[in-house]
Amino acid sequence: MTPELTQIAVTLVIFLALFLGSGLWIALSLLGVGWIGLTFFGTVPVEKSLATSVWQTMASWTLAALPLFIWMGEILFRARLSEILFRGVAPWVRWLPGRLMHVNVVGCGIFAAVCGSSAATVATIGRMSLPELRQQGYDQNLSIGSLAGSGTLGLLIPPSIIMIVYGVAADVSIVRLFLAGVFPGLMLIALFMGYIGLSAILRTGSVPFDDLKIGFREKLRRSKGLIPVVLLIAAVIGSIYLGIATATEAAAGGVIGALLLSAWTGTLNWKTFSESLLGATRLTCMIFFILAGAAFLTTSLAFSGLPAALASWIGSFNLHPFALMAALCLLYIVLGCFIEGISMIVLTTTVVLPLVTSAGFDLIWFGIFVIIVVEMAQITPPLGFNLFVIQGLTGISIFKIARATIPFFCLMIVGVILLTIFPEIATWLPSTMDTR
Amino acid sequence: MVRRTLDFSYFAGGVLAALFIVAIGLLICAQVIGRELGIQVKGADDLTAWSVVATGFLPLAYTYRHGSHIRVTVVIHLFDGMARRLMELGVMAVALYFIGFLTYSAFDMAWDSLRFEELSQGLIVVPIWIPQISIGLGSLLLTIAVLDDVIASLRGQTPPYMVESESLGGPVENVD
Repeated sequence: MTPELTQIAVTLVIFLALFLGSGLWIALSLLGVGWIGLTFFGTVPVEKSLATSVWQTMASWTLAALPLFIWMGEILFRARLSEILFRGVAPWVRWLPGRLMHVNVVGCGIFAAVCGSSAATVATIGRMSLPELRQQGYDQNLSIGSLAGSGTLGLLIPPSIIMIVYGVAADVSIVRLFLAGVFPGLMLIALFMGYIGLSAILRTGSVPFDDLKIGFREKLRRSKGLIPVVLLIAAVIGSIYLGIATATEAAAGGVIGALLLSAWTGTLNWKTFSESLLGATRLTCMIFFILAGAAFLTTSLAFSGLPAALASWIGSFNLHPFALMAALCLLYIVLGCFIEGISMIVLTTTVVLPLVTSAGFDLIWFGIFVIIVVEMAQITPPLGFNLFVIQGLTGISIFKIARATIPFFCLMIVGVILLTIFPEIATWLPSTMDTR
Repeated sequence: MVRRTLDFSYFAGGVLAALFIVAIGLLICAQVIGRELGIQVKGADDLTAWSVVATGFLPLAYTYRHGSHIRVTVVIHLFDGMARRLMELGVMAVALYFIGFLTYSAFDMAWDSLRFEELSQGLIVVPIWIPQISIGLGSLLLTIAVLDDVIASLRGQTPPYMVESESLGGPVENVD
């Protein structure tokens, strides 16, 4: 890197830290650093490039999937699915070692497949499962930890809000990202369930004895409530996989499905409708504003040539690709202590993606990698949103919750390592789309 | 009177954006149904993209008043009393400058489009400043809302964004 570029890089990083640290809104911090970059180191008029870059990024048909999936999640969040999911899943996991503890994992997995947010997933499943598990005498640490860990599936199992953001920022197909998330999501479910089963066998007493026998028919009867949910999942993911619908179209269908489902559970009225819509408006606006700020920062950085220079500079160290991934993993977990997931992704893509591409990684694969790492940041203090939600549900201190979550954090590290050694876990399913 | 007008304007921005979300859903449905019936819904792609811009910018002030724009509060929460007040004021002043600049830039872009009579390039032809103006209008509302808070703060009141709980990046406001 030339001394001049180093000077620009250092200046911008200092201002970014200053803006973010002072409590300036994240979107405006990004916009502000972009402004400094162009004003002091650029050659084009700032006022002309700001609005133009924002307009070019935001006026996008693909981005329309985001408000719709957010709205879908907001509707389902208010549809009182907690009980339906708990009652529906419970009879099927009773025979496994760990019994009802698995409801946390499977329930979160199912809800994640209709909702793109991990906080909503934790809140929906935990509201019913945590009191139930406590009442029946299950180990509290294990039930809290498994809920916090499984809640992060909301980001990984499609539809996923954060995948749309990454897809737009990295300019890769959202449909492919969605499909790439399916198997890594199932892998994490398997890891979590395996751990719950093992610890139930090794530590007797963490799971209460239960010899309730339920016939197959009775099981089916109790799971009746799951049918509409499963149909909705099949419709959204199935239509995307079969190529019938784009992500945006599946999102529109998903909103209709969610409205029908909430009508079926008797929760659809003017109040829940308008609340879900206005909630979706606020969340969409928050994310879009950050995207707009990041769009301008990207333009500003591109003028300076900084991202490419940085990529070739780090490339000159000839790091092993795995070492690079380990370093990035660490970087995201540290960043995750201060910044929330979506901002982290838009903030880093400009600089990190050229690096990743030049190291020979697939951008779809990297999207899944980065999302799992962001998930890990969601369950580490001080800024773990899933931990806050569980704190809200139980009133237990955030550090106690974080301690209960440590085994699941380690399982996710195992997941990331497996994903790095066997990238096909993510890339296989989207690749089957080409051959069809 | 001024208070009521301002609050109404912020809320109106939010409601308008909510309607644009519904419009996006309807446009996409119309496209899908049209495709099945072999009818091309003219310009739906462009209308959707423009609605996306409107949903991002019109509710800026409304979202701000709800405290839903996220920020890093680790440092600022270490302070309270006068120090905190001054820090928040400083943050709002910087925010005011940048959002004001965005407003200026957005109206400048729309004005250029109007001046040079630029038209949209898709199937429906409209002057492009019409969809572009939503960036300027939304940013202007946010500029006013921040200015509103600066004045309130100088008068010794606490700005609403500090009262409302900060968003957790998901629909968790209703956690019991």
